[in-house]
Amino acid sequence: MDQFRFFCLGGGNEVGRSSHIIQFKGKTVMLDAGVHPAFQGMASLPFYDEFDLGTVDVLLISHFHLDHAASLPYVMQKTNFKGRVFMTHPTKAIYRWLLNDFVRVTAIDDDSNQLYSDKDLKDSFDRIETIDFHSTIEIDGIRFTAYQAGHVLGAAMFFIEIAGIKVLFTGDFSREEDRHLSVAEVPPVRPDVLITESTFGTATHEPREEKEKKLTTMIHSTLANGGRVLMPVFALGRAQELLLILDEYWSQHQDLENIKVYYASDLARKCLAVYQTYINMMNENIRKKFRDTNKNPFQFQYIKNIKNLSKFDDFQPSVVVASPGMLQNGVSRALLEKWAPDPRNTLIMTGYSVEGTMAKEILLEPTEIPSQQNPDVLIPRRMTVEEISFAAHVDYEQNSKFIELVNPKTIVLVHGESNPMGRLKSALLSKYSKYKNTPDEVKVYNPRNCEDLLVEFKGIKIAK
Amino acid sequence: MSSTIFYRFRSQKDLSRVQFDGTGITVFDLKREIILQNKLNSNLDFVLTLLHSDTNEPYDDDNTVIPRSSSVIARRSPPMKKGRGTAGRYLVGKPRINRTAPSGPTTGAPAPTNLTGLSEEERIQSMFNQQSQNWQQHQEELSTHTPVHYSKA
Ligand SMILES: [Zn+2]
Repeated sequence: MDQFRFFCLGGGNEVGRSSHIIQFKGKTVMLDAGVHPAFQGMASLPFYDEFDLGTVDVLLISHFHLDHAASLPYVMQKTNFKGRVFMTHPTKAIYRWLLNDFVRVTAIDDDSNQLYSDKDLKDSFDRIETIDFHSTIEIDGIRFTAYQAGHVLGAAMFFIEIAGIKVLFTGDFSREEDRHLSVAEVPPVRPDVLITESTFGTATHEPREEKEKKLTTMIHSTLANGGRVLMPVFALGRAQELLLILDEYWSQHQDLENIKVYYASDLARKCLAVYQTYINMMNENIRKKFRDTNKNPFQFQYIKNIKNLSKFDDFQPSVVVASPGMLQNGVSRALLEKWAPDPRNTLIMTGYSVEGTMAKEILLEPTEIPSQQNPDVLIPRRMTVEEISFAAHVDYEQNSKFIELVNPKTIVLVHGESNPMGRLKSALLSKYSKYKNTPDEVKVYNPRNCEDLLVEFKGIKIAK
Repeated sequence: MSSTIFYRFRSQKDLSRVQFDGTGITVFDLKREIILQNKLNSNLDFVLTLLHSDTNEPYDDDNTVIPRSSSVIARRSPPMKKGRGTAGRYLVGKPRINRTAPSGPTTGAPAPTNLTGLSEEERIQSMFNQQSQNWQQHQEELSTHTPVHYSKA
């Protein structure tokens, strides 16, 4: 009897350091190679010691976010990994700049924290192969196809066939159309196993129009009261969507003309070229806008880029969109510490906040926060803290609808903290309870890191 | 005189080294050095095992002395349960007394008390003695389980 094996090296009952192994009939596919954003150096890696990476045939990277891609140079240069690596074109284009920045930032903190050098990054970069959306690649009995996942530019879902068994890996995905991205596609073929994210568990998102209205109203009233608005974002991905919202809002409100919106990320500036290049991979919405106006929507009218805070004169109300998104260090953290004591200011958290980061801590609205330079120094926190999620992950309704359309027999949950993931598992089990003990039974698993999951499949037709 | 132990993490290609003085280093001290050297203390929620590089057998006893110039394999594993990683013990705790080690009379394990032929009062006294002995042992164990409040490196 052939067993399908799923083995989670990271991202099992947690958000961060995603890396999963699937095996069937002696073939091994690795999915993602991330780091954990709350930790540094080797402590941020998946549990690579628990698996012989030398046996991996193919490694597929779903998207460029650090928790899915940032340990790839480590895997390619520091371990005995010999497999082939694939990602989509836009993912590869952004990956280069992003990891360059990652190496630079970790080097500033502490040299010995570095997982790999710029040279490792360069040496591994040329060996990464690209795959087009909707095209299928076959390597040694492993076939895989990339589908649009929404979420961020270039994000892919992989449909994988190994010796007749079909697996769909969602990576991070979204099912609500926004200003620039298409929603995740449902593959035409039914998979045996679905590996899906569970970030938001059974939570429900507000409709996009309401969230946008809430966001712009909050920003407008803060500015009218003489306050500053800080929006920490991950430099790439959702930030571009927020900038599209702000640029449009400013174009419609003359009274804001003299109030500046800044974008404090050199990295984002470099990557805007990638966004401008890959407009054809975005949704019809933005392509139409591009055709109609003949102006690139990612050339913003009202948003100014600032390279660093020394060039920023902070004398009047303003909006700053700054990275990193989880306030661990850098520009967003420096501005948080500067603006936290003034009750007129507003902090708007729009991304997903990982356990162990300042982003998660600040949502509890502490009266004081530790300075990043010197944790013994406490800074009073009087600024308003608001959370409006633009994280572009599915909520329960979207996830369970997607699962219904995909119609798998076996569901494996990853990328979620234990509690939301456990609630999602219960909700799915009760949704499919009517099939229990019938041939149509749907199994749901939520394995922990390095917990072996073996599934037996009877009557799999082996592709010749 | 400086001595060296070579190690590599199980998933890594390259060897690293730990330097120390003397003819050998205990498993406990070597683990501590490896944790510090690799800045693994930003998240101590893991289990660190050292393996003989030739046999892959684990070094179970923290008190074992590894002779200088040996090479070992380090293995970072997930905790049994989230928040139950034991790596923090190597930064604040003491070496664990190895329970599986053969215990002769000199190792201080309390011999089972023969209660036959004792008066009621003597039995109670004996029970108290044994309890406090157990408690002492338990306390020693607890001291190695100190919660670790680490700040980031
Ligand atoms: Zn993501």
